[in-house]
Amino acid sequence: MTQELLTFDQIPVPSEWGSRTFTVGEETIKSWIDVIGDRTPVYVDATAAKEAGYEGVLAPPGAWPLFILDAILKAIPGRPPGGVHARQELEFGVPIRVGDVLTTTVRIADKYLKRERRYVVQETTTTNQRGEVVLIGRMTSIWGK
Amino acid sequence: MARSYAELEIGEELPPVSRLMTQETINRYADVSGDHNPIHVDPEFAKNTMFGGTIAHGIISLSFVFQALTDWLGRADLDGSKLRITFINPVRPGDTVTAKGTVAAKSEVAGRKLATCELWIENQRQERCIVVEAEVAF
Repeated sequence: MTQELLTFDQIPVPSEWGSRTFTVGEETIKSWIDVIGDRTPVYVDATAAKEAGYEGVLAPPGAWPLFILDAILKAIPGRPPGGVHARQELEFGVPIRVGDVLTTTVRIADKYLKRERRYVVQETTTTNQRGEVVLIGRMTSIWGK
Repeated sequence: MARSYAELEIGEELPPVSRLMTQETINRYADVSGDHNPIHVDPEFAKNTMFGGTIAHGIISLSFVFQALTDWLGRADLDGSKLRITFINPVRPGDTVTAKGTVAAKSEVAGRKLATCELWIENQRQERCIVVEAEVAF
């Protein structure tokens, strides 16, 4: 079955696109660290994390796409090919720990044309299993069609 | 040891973080993130696009900015901080990218101590590929 494309003209503004849940798995964070190469002890070692005053191993702040982008891509189906990630705003709340169960709510806040390019603004709010806000995002994409 | 707000000096430069971008890193990031867009991982497809070859996910280079920032701060989290990120130019396999930054301003607003930092990723030709304005909370 072919996914029908969500074109710029069809996007309702504002609109809610539901939420996605993501468990911050130890293996996922280890894979991220292996690729990126930031081996700060707090991201890999529970003892180091406790000594630094955290309750558990932290996910690197740079790993935010695992929690936001994946939710956006899954929540908004039919994204036309050829799109570009133009801008991103991030507001960090309480630190994300390995083992957290995160819920990211996705909404489209705005769309506009500028220099013949189609821009779509997607907002996300990510909370942990305690209901604390861990991350607020505002992603501006150039829409493919 | 975490840096304190009082220690920061306006104009201070963050220690840079440099990395060689490789197609292997791009492919591995695609596996971790699930983003297998052919512009990143399929040289045959990418050859016929406006880029003329594969480009790295912007997120990979951006992560070096986070590393430079947290290394410099001496802490592992960015609790209460805000970042505004703009992707300007693509990074290609074979490019050496460097995360750099400087402290632009310090302010105390409603009891919150904030440092405004300008950070960026540049390639080996000193072209900026990503720029980040960070409002770091202390």
